[in-house]
Amino acid sequence: MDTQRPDRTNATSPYEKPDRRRRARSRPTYSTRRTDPRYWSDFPVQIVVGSGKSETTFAGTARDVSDGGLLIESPDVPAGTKTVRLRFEVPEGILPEEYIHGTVDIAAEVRRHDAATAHWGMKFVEPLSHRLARSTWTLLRWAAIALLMAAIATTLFLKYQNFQFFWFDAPLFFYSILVGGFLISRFVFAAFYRNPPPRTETPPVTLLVPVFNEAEQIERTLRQVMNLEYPAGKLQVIAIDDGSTDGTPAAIQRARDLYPEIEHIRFEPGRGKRHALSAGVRRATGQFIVFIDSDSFLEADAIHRLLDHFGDPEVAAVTGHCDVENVWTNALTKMQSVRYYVAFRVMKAAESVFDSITCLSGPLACYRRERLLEVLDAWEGQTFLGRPATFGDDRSLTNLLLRRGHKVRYAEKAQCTTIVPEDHRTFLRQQLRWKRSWFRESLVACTFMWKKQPLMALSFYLGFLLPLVAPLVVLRALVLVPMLNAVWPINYVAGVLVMSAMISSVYLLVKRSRLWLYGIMFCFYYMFILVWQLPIAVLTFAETSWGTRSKAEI
Amino acid sequence: MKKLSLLVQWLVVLALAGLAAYPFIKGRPLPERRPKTWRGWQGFMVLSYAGIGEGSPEAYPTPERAAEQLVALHAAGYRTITPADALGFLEGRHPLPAKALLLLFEGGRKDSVIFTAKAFQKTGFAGTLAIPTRLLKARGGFFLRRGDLKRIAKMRTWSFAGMGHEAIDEIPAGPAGERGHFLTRRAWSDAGAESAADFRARVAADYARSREVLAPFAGAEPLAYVYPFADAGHGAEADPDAWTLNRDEVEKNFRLAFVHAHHPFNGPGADPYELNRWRVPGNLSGAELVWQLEQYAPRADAAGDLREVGAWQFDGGVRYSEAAVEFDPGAPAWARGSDNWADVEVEATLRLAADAVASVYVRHASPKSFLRVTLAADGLRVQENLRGRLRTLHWQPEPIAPGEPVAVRLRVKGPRAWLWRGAEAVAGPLPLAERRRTGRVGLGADGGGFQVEAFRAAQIAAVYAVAADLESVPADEQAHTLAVIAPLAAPADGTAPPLPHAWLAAAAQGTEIVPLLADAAAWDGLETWLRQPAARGLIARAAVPAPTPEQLRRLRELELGAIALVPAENVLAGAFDAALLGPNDWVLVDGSPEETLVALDRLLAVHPAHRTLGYLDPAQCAEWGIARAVRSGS
Repeated sequence: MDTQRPDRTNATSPYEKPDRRRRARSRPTYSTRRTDPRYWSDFPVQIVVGSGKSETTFAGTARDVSDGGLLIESPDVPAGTKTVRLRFEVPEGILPEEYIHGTVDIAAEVRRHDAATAHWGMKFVEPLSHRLARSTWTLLRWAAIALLMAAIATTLFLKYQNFQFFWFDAPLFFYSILVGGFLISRFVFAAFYRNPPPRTETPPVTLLVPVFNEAEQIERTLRQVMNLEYPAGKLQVIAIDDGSTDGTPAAIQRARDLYPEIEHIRFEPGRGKRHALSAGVRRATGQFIVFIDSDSFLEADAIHRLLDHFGDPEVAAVTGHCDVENVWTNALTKMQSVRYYVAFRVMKAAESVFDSITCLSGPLACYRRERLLEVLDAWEGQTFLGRPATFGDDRSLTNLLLRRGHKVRYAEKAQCTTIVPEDHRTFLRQQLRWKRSWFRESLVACTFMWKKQPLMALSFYLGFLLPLVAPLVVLRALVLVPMLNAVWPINYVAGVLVMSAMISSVYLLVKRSRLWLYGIMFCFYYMFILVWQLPIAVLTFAETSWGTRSKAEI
Repeated sequence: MKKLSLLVQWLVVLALAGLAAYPFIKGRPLPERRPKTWRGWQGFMVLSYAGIGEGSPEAYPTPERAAEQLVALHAAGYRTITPADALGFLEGRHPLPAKALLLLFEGGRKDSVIFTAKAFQKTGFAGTLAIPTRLLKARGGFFLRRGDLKRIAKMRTWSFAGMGHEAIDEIPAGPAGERGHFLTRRAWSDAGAESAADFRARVAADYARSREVLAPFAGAEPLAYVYPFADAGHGAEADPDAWTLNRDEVEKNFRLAFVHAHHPFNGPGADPYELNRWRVPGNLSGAELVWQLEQYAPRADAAGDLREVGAWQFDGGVRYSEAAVEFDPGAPAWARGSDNWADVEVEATLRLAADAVASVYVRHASPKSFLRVTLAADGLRVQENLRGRLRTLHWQPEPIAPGEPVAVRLRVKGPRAWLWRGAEAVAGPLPLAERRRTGRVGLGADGGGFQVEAFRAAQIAAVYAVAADLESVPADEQAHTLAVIAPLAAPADGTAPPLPHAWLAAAAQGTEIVPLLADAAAWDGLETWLRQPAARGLIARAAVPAPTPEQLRRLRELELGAIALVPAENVLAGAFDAALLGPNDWVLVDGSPEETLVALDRLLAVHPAHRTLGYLDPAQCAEWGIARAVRSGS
């Protein structure tokens, strides 16, 4: 057994089992035998042996699980058993979301038995995904389509009513029409997003991992990076420790013990993420430079999928798709999971159609080296109102590239996950900081976005102005009108509900996850809580401090 | 491909920009308005909408239903007018479209503007918004605000009318928490009811404030006022001083007032401060609304059968039996289309219930202006109400038993009335306070119900006779003769002899003597006659062939009205200027019927039909709304 097996007692996310046989194709140990990832697990399984009167049920514990089978620890199952029936319920966080749909009852055949450890390798008669595709996933897909259609129809009806009743409350209905139009347009634009054909070239790539006090995650991050499907000789990995004061240096060292090729830069004291990355860029030898966060976990083919987009020589940078790693922790992380998906697959995909992503996100972004070097000094030395800019690094770098007319895209298939805040305090601090940087960098972007493609420009300016007005609209609809006119804001809340249902239904359609309802919850969370951060962010956007910089906030 | 993408994007952006700009650049067609073609002197309809919206289809039409109604009205030939048009018409300054319609939208609601916009554009209609000015500051998007009024004023599709400031509110009106209308009840406080002075001050301030707030948006002083709750103080719950008080104050601040809400028609003789309007039921289709409105159009034929539902307006309980039509107390019936009737003969056979007081109305212009015959247990009365003052002209104290059939006949011609009970002449000629007041015919009762066994009302085919005297008028026309235009000769010695007996006899019968001033001698004679005080009461007008401005001025100096005898060819040749005439002056178009009809088409563009005479047959006179003239011996 793998000695690095983690404690999964309180697991909140699928914890993929390292499999060196799936490692880079260039490595001698690469194997194509297993196509599906396997995940650490420790949930109970009932093993039914025999049938009819001879049927006997034994208890066991699943030690790892994949789409195709289970590794079960069970000392009671009689040796020589060939076929069994397995009953189990996959707990949250063991497998990806689309697999979490209640009890599974499936026939399996024994492929391996280790009597010494009482481990049984069981192969399902059909992959779980096939079974789910026949039943649950189909049902969910139609439910999502129905929900989406209903939400779109209701939205269009509401917008029609907005037109009908426009002059009753022109400011509100104008805002409502614009918001509806903005959201629907983003969905429409996103529908035009296409992944480029895979490329076979494997140019030299440098992967930079800035880290600050990430002792808990950095080792895993680096190990996953080293397990990426990319030729070892063409992948330079540099970990840049920006003056961590916890066990981060030791964690990096443990990773380097396993993978000595990991390069290490350490600032002491720390100089900030921007300087850490700049130092990494200057040491980088790759033709393409990938930025990831210290708590980003990349899919094995992420770099390939990023590079697919660089077939167009005008593309300067590509951002990957990021999901939530710790999705199962609590309602807050589940809400963020839906939010992340929509933010990437809808919002960024829509922008990518016009080659103008407004934010190359920190968890995964890849830059063409020469384009990055063009703007590196300006980026590193960026000041705002005479003070060094200390956050919003990703947006400001994106702006520098966009201003020069370069293409900046989103790669849906270059996937990674990241750790998101698990408590409201941390989350709110993060959101406030993001809003500040969004406001500051959007102001900058306002000066050149009009040069972009017309629909992108229109969409950008709407996307900048509408959130700024949102607090006033919410205040009016939820506070002033009910207080002064004794009219409950039923229509407004219904409108938000419908729009959120539209957003969430996309999550349900694509992810086939029961977490879609948290998207609706997030919209209300935004309406009641997050929207009030905007005025604060606008008033304090010149502030350069992070508040408190800690893990899971980057 | 990239160029194509950019092209498509620019097209989309331009389309969106066009869509956003469209409401601002499309322009608004002005209301259809062609005053030069207006020849209508019959009157105008007023329809009132309390709102437009969903949810209360009986009270308010839905937007679709309102649009349907407006389009149907347009298709039926109705054309909208403004309060200024209505005022000019009532003052006799100009005519109106043949089917003139004033659309009122009450309550200052935004839906009135929004949901009529398309139909207005389609039909060329214009409307009048009655604004309770207090609501201009109401929060939310339901009511119009000051900014809205500014924008609306620029559209030229809308006029504004006052609807009070706080007058739409109800106030504490009694010690037990009763509530009452702001304008017609005294406010109640712990100290009791407010004093008459306070009541007047409060009401006066509300009218003044309504006008002041509205004035900046109305472009000038707002002309019209619309009474909230249709309550100007006529009702039984109103304070006894309310009607007079409101009348005084509304006259100080506005030029027109729409009071009554159950009747759409207003004729040329309508009291500008007692105008009618009709609240449009929301559930009427366009065709139904047009049909209903047509029933109120002026009619020339007799009003008779009470079972002819379309010809009558019932306000309450009415039941039909084989022998009679039975009315509950307080449930009047009005002959539709009779609003312009002035000279009328009514015959009715009624049976009273115990304690009932039944009334037959003529010249009913408002609850404060009418003539009626009442039937009660203690006999018959002829009563005239003039601005709220009810006076009994005659009482026949012959008891009427419950259930006893009583046939009455009332004739009203000019300033005289006659009454018959059965075949017996009971009274007449009774002098009336006003020479010629128009109003509708109707029935009603208090205290108990009554049955109508027979009823008939018809206009008297009144004529102006050009003759030496009434005796010269053909016998069959004498009873209908309203006035005799008689040549006047100067007394031989320059001193006036006693008034001719024929003049006095004619005047007693309600026939006016109008001296015809054919030459200078006649002018001298007129002045001689007028030196007699008795003649002053008899002679109110003089007829002058093709009068000069000096002659008209001279008549005004003598405080006389004029009947200008104008040859039809003069009218057609433009040789006659009707603008020289005063508000009480008439025109007799002298010519063949063919010439007269052509001349009328020109004349009625500037001169009221009801002050015009022509030598035409009764049907043509009714069609044109003019009075009929006959020559002696014709």
